[in-house]
Amino acid sequence: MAEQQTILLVDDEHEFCELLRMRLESDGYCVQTAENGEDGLAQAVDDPPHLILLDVMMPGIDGIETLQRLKADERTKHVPVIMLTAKGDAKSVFAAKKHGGKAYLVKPCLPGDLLDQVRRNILR
Amino acid sequence: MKTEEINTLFVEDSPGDARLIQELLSEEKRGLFRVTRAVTLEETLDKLSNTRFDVVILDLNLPDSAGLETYSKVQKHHPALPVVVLTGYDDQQFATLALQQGAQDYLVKGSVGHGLLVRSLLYAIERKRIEERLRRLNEELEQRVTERTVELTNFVGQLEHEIAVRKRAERTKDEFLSMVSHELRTPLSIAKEGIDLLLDRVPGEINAKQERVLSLAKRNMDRLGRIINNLLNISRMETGRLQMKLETIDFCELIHELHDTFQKRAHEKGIRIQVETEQDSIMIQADRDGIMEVLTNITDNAIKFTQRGGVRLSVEDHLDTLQCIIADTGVGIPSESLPKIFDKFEQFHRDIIRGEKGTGLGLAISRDIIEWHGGSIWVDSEPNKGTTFTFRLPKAPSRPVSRTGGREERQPVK
Repeated sequence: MAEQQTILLVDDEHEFCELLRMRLESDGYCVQTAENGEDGLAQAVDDPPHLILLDVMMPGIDGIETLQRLKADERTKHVPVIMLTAKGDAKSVFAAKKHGGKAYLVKPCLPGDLLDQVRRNILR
Repeated sequence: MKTEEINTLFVEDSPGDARLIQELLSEEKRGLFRVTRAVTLEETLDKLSNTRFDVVILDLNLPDSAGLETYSKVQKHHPALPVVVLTGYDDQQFATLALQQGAQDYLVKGSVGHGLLVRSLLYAIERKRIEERLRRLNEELEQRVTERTVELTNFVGQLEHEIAVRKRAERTKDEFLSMVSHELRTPLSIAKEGIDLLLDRVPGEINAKQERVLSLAKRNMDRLGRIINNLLNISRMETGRLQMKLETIDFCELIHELHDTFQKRAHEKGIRIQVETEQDSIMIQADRDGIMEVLTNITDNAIKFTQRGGVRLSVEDHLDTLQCIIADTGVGIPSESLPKIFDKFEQFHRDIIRGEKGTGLGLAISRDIIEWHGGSIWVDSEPNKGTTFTFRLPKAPSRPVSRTGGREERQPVK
């Protein structure tokens, strides 16, 4: 059996993190969580995960900026990032695509869609 | 009658000339003219300011003033007073100048008889009265034009102000809605994820009764999610801020994508969904997301309301336009509901299938999107036989169609 893949989940909503962790763990992933952009960045640099799920609207540095910094850092730029947000406007989608986000999921999203995107993009 | 007496100021410095004219006037037997004489310009102006005269007979050459200047001075102080110039010069050019400056008549001493003098004076009074009336009318008209111009300018200013206020309000509303939608979606997504987890048995097994309760909750959360999306879209549409832009897309590709999206759901429901096109590709200029939303809205309804048979998606290439038909073999729409089907918040199936409620906005949004492209959409339906939605799109919309606020009440329903 291959090494367990790690997913870093960055979202300021604890409860959402808790549920999503349950979902992802039941699908066999190891889940780390961070509640803001800075914390997420620090964890990602410290121990790069196989995939990052990143919320867009967070206090402090927002998801788009976090994404930019992840992509600008040699240690994390190879990690695929999926943006997760309740804000489905064209501007954020465009910004996410422009800065190298792999996918953009609008909450509430179908569990199937989320796992699909995770499986498709996670590093092997 | 005394009241009809014409109060005449006769300005003449030469006593001989004065007598001559006064004799001419006294020949007037009806006693029409009451004549007052003045000798100098100063005296003339003095008398004119103290007494109301009906007409002035004016010699131009006086001890204290000469030539046309004499007339000008009188006219300047009493513009509404008719003046007949009487001089010793018989000079046509001089006469014309005097008339151009407003004198009513120009008479030459020695060539004036009783009849001519009286007629000249009477006509002078009448003509001046008409001139004055015209002048007043003209002034009133100008005054009114000025007033209206001011009103109009104020109105335009008000309008501009209102437009600015409204634009600001729309922007605020848009930001507000975007914020609200975020605030609504976040707790909704958490609640939904919780229910999804339970239904997927991630935390543990559930029994059939529990599953039914959770399914009901889930369905209504999905519905709430759709309502939030549609409200946001409608609001963006109405403020003209749903940004659509034309790009070249392959319509057939879109239809196949649509087919793939809904195939699983149709299969689960035991109905067919099939694509019929004769072409491999039909390239058109359209907003991809907008058209996809229309197709999704209609197909979603078609599958929802079809229990047997299936849904057929077909595309026809008509030179400059394309026609897309989405036909189902579902419950159909009662004929009385057809004319209102594209209106906002119309839920034509409300009572037909329990639990299958939409937001009543999908078709209104669809029509907006199709009309933005310069196309049209209509529906045919027969209860218990099925429903057919048809829309036609120009392949290359000639205009970047600007949306007008109020939609004309056109019902493209056959």
